[in-house]
Amino acid sequence: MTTFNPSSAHSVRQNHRLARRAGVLLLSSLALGACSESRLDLTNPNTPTVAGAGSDPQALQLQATGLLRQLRNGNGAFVTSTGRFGREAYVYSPQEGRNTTNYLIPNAGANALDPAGFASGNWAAQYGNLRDVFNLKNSVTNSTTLGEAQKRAGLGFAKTIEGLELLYVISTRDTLGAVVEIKQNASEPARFVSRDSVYQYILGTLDEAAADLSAGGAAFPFALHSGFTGFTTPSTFLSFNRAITARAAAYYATSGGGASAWQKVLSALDASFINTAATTRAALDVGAYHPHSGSTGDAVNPNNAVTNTDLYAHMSILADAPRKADNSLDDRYLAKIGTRTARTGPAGLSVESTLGFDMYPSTSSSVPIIRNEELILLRAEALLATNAKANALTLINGIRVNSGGLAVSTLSAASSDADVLTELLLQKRYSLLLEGHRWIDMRRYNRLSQLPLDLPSHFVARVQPVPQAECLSRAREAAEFAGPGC
Amino acid sequence: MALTLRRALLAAVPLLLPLIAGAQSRDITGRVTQIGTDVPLAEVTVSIVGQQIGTLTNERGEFRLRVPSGEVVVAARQIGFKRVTARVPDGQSTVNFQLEKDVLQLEGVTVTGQATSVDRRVAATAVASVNTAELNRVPARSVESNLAGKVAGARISENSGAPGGGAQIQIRGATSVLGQGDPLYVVDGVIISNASNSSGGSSITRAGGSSASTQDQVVNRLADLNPNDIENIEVLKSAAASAIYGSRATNGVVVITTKRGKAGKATWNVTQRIGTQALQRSLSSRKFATLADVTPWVGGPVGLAAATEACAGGCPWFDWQGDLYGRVDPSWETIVSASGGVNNTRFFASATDRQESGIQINTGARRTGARINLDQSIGTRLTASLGLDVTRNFLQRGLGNNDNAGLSPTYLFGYTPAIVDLKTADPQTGRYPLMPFNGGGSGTSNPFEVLRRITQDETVWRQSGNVRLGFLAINSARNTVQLSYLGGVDRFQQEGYQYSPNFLQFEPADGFLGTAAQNNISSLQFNQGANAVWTWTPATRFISSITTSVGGSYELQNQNVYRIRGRGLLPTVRVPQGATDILIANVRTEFRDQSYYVNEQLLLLDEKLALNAGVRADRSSANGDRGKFYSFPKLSASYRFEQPFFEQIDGIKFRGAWGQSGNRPRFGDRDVLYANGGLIGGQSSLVSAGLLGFTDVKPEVMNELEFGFDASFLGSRIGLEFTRYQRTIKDLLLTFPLPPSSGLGNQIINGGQLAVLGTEGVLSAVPVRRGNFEWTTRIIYNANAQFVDSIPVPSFNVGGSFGASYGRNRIVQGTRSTLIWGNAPLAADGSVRDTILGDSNPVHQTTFSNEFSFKSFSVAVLADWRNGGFVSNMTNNLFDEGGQARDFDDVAPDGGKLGDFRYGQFADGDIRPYIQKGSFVKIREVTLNYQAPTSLATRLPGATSLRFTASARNIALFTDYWSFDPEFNNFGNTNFNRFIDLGPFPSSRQFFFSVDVGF
Repeated sequence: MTTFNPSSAHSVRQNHRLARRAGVLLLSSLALGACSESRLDLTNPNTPTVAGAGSDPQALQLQATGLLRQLRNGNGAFVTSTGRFGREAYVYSPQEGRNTTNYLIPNAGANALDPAGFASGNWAAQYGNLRDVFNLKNSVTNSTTLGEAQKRAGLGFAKTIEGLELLYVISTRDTLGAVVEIKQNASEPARFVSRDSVYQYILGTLDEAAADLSAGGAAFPFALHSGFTGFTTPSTFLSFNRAITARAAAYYATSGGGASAWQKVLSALDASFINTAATTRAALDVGAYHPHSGSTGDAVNPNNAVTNTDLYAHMSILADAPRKADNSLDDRYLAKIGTRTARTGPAGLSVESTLGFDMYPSTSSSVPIIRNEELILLRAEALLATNAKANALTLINGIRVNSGGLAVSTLSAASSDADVLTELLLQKRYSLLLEGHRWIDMRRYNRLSQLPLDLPSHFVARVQPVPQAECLSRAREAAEFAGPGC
Repeated sequence: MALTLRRALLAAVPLLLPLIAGAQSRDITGRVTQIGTDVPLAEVTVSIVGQQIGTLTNERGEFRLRVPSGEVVVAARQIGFKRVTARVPDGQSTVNFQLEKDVLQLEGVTVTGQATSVDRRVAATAVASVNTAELNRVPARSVESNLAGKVAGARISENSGAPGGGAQIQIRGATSVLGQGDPLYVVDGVIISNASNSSGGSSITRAGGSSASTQDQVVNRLADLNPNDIENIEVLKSAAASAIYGSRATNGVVVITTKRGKAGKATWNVTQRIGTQALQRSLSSRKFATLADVTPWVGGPVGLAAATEACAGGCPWFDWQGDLYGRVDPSWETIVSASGGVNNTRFFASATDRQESGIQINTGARRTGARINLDQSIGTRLTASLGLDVTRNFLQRGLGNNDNAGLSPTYLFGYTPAIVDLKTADPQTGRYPLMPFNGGGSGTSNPFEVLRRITQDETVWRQSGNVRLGFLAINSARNTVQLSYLGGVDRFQQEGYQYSPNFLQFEPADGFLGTAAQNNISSLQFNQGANAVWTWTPATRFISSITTSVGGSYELQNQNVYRIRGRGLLPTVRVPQGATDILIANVRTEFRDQSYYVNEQLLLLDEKLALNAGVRADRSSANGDRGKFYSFPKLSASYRFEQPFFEQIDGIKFRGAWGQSGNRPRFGDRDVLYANGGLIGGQSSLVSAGLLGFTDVKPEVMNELEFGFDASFLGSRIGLEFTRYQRTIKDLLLTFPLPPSSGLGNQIINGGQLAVLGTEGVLSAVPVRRGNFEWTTRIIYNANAQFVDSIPVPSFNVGGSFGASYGRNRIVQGTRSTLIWGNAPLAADGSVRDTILGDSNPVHQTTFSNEFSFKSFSVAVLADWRNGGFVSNMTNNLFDEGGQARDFDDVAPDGGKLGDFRYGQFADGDIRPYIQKGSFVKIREVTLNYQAPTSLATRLPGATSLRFTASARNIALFTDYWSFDPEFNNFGNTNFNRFIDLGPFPSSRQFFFSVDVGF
């Protein structure tokens, strides 16, 4: 109960007026607290944003270098894992037996190799670079500062790296197929496609790249590092592109691509930097390389003979090494293999080795991406497959003499195709030792059973499994997204 | 008499809100005193019930209030006392009030908005408020520890016993996995930083990372606050209460109000404290009889030689822990404060210098600071307030926790038999004996030498300030509109300096001799807000008042962290420059937030029914869509019954509240980033970052429903509060594993749901009040259960742990998030699997607070009981692995040695021996207080009051737990995994004697 309750008309009016004034005051105070939205627009100062890099003139160079840096990142593990499958190498780390067992000893069940184990690599690193390829292609396409020719040159570069990375993936997964598409939205899975489709995609992409490079003018809108000396302009880089194309076409030819693919190998080689007249080591080694250094921020050669003391060579490399006329060892063996303190893997699960790899003598030794010696051997392979056995033998003999210091082969055009192929694969084995070929070549020609098993418990893997993380992320998706072996 | 009246008026005038001039008004005068004592009470608010019109009493307790004609109801109220109302008939012009102490905490106001509050007795949410007296009963390292056991629903745990602070407040359970887990701290309207930044301990200990880690005994910056300046702390727990802070409020808001000046003659207060400290409990260590006993544990030939020499006539035992943690050097604190007001100005000023000695040699903390708070009335409508605080906090926290360099003493003692003297230096060289055990080389050290030779200084300079302007735009009998502006700045500069000279035993281990590191963290926070509050007071029986408030705010927080570490120092050099191996780290973060709010507060039916509704809309630079406002509504109601059912029930208030609050994303969660790819062929590169930012990232949202009642019985002798809450947190920040074929690793997403269900209860009572003797008691109970309702990602381990071999929390759908998972042979076939081994969440935590007063003496005791809550006792694990556990030789269930048994089980993959129950009863506070008679006080020239206090903190700990303290955590403040005990700095008892003199 209140005793003062004046209800005169005057008071009511006053109350209304006060209420109105109160309302105005409330609203105007809201404006005081306001600030413009742009004030909230901050840029992360710690790490470059994808959005912010687009407008930075330096970004294109950094992104292009990023592709080559990522390409190099994947290479060390690629050669040591394919090296183990192909009985070229062991990784005998004292603390980690799985570096051996996960590659050589099969699991029971559907997956002989553990999809969550050590041997499920050569996947995330390559797709990581394919994401960067995707980003670079977008940056180039959307650039407002690049001219048309520069854009084509940039795209040709990016697509060449794309083809090469996908080739690493499919050459380790083979019949499992792979994913070729990078989606803008990373959480949206891309479908698996068949091996045939992957090869067609790779070859198509490399051909597109070639067309782009041809229209790419005189210079890239960025500089390539010293490992690409000789391939630093669109037109010279095209010869690198064709070399990769030849390798991809050869892989496709033995994986269902057939005769037309072999023709593709030959035509691509013609446009590559192949030099069949090479007689010196230097001429055979002409090609593109991954440089390494010990500088802060750079990476040392992961398989160098100085610091990587866990990398051992398979003893069969000595046993199988070709001999010169005087019964001394092949020059390639002598140059690439050295002796080491004996070491073995987990007790009872592996055998001892006393050999190591000496082709990377220092921490800054460069690692080949592709080089002339491989191109000569690829041409020999294609000639053999296209009924030009004599010409193939000529090239094989050239390698025997110039690379191995051997006498010419006793084989002739009258020898069986199989014998010539055996000889070719032997030369390829020693010429391209630990460059990621042996296991893949033996699979391509269905000769994995010829690879030596150290122990009865060992086996030769045919393909690397799709990583478990890939399967798990697809388990949430519709059935058509499921991957093979998942 | 005339003189007195004039003085009373003088004091009251600046505080008297302007009155409507009118012929139909009269003055009421009177006096307010404390019941039974006739002591006058100053600063008591005297007002007409339901009106804005009020005045304050002067220092003699007198007031003069202008009221309308007719009968009025006048109330007198002050925090700390129960309110009294009196009906004043038309003809009466004087009324006196006698106030009674508010033991049950029924009075006071509680925050309901940025610029509004409501009387506690009508509050519609659970209120937790701690006043200065209760807060500062016993000094503590940091204000969190002052609060421990005093707030229902807030779990407060110290991270270690190191001097200078480091403690965590978790309110009503964890609300986020990746996001912010700390409450928001607001001091006088200024949002302050409670950041935890390492001062670089890892650059020497290599505990984690290369220069800094959360394991470095990190101090959260609340430690810079001087608790003595605090008038009141209010903890906003439920979303309905904290929604006013929008997208930073899911972890609750701690609203701190500092002291302000009181009208009248300036009063001075000087407090001098002196204290000491002692190791709470030693882990002790194993005692060996013969050389043969110790031989398995000497760790190599150097150790064997040392043991052979030491054990020649039976092995001695040295109390390493007792010596290393036995420092009793005095701690002291001096506090000077002044308060007063003349004319239109009031002030409060204080200066403090506090030195805490650590029990570990060469450790301590010193906080020196000053504050001034000014209030100025300008004319009758405008008020301005200003607050400034400058503090220097200097910390030397010594070594503790994890370590990978052989330094952390407790860690090291686990592996080294205490059979040699380590503490005696060579008088010629000043060098201490080398540690012969645990390898005897550079992987170990002598902590007595290390702690004397290394430097680990943390120096913090902190400044904060606030400005408030209030303008009474409209002031009529029925309507008032108050406009206000608040601006606040909080800034600190933290400098962490680490130095380890080149000659120490452990220095060669990393390949570089000597380490120096410079760590700087600069932080700037700013917030400002404008508010308008319109109160309509129709003063009808149905509507007492309706308060509408609107406003907006803008906040920014910048932090810049830069660290330089140098290893391999040239002689006499003590900075990283010129070192052989230099590492630089620099990270900057910045947030900018903006908000609007509208709030409606209704007091109806004679103030029995209170309704509160509001919404706050926030946008932030941390969100994906920076322009989008996210709104956080709230709704609460309470109804108060007076003397229902029986007259023994004074009153009971039922309340219910629902609200939403948010937790904004972390800095950079929204950004799609490149990573530095490194060099190739001399060229730099950009590559995609493995973690993909989420361009649509938004705040985590908590919905909370709270019900409860507050009741008072037997003439306010017994009070009971009960609250039940249910909170669900949606749109959690999580990392979602992407298909590797996308080329990326993980993506930040919003999704999933956590839930917390909990109960809080407070029972307050005055069991005995007889003559001069009074016993008051308060029991605070809280319990909760925390769940993972759903997650759109595979189960994952929460970061900040040592993995399945030591136990950690896992986020697994359909389980409690606080469960400890780890290895044990519990698979169906008896093999080891990662499974649930315990719950880190206590069954309940209950505190018992008792105060006894007799004449001028009072005694208060606060005991804290934690029932349950498992701990990963890695300290025990270290001592067993190294063969040094004090109970190693006890008989195990298998007949062998207990240490072998526990460690053997662990080595076989069963970690259960080290997942130990962490129940404890801790006597946190004991204080004995004597208020000297005025006759004694006045013997000091100018003094008016004198008080002596003897007090102690953490004086006793009762627990079966094996290690120092089950409350400790190696990783500091964390949302989960807050139970990892790994060689911490031990806990200490602290003792103080204080003299307070008032002038």
